[in-house]
Amino acid sequence: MTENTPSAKPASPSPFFYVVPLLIVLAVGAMFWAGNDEREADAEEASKKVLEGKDYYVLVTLMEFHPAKQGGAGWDAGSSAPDMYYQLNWHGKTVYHTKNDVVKNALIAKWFGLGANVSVIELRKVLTNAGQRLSPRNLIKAALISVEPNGELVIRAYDDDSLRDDFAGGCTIPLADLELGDNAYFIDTEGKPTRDRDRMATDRGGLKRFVLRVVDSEQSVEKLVEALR
Amino acid sequence: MNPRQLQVCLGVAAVLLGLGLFAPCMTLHPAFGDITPLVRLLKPDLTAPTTYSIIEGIRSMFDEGSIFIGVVVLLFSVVFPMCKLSVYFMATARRARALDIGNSVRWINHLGKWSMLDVFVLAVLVVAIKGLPGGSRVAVEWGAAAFCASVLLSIYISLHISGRRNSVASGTTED
Repeated sequence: MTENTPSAKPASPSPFFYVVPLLIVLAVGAMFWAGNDEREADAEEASKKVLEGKDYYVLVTLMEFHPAKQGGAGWDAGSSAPDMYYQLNWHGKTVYHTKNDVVKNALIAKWFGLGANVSVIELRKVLTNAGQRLSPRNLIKAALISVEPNGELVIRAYDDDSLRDDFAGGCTIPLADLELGDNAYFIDTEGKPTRDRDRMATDRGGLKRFVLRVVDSEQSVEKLVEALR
Repeated sequence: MNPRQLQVCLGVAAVLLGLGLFAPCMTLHPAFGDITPLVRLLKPDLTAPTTYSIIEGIRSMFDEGSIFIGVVVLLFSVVFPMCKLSVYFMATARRARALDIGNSVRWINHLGKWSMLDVFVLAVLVVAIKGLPGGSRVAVEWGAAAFCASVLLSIYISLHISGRRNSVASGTTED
């Protein structure tokens, strides 16, 4: 007796086979995207740092004093707040100061990187045809410095007084540590600048904190205005 | 080609498609004719080269409200090529088990007429931007080459799979 058994039909492949190419495409995309994100993060980090040999505008946009001088004495007679200004020293020379733009009776002062100091007499000159030229360069209120190896910037804060200005505090910052944009510094218990707010001295007296703005000087006029204002 | 070789080719095509979709496809170098130096001085952002991948291009189409064009390009440049590779991969798996490769391959091959639309869209886009006034130019990046290579490789694979289908239908085998 012979038995005719039909040959068994092979089983269909798993539906997983449909997904394999999709997974490959997505894996390539994910790897590419991850690599791109990493490159962009590196580029962003690198683009924030100042570069040696380039020129930058620097200014203090915000400064805060403690309610008392170092040692605990009051700032001015009575309970008056200090009249604040600062100096920027580079290569041992004062390259910028706000002695002519003192913020009176304040513990927090703000300065802008743009402004025009024009007296009424000068204004008349500006308005006449023969008047002086008012260029964007005249409007920039910041120090122009160049980043060099081991270069340093000294910031000195003062309380403006009629007899003798009181030194409120100061610090030296290596230029290589600066980043484009706002650099916030806090004065620690030893009088040194730190970027860590938690290490800021709470009752040291004098200069408490400041924000140093760094702007690439080779930008277009429009971008300079945007960055300095 | 045996099913194993075809699957390797499909894997390569999938890698190329992934690169083609996500890698830089074209870089636009904008120019504004004689006033390019002035624009570069006042608005450097406008003259900065911009690089797009196909995926980024589609995303920017959606962002800018060109939904219809975005959907068309998404369908024929992303969804269809991926579906095609998926169907071919399944077909090779079925072929390895001596099963009929299925109707889905026939459908995909019919729709294959539309698959060249992705190359067409890319070409039209390049020509359109190359034709911009002011000296703007487009540089085609390696992502476009990877994308085209993936499309061509998938066409080559489809010829082998279709050839096998015809030989099965006529009672001959090629292995």
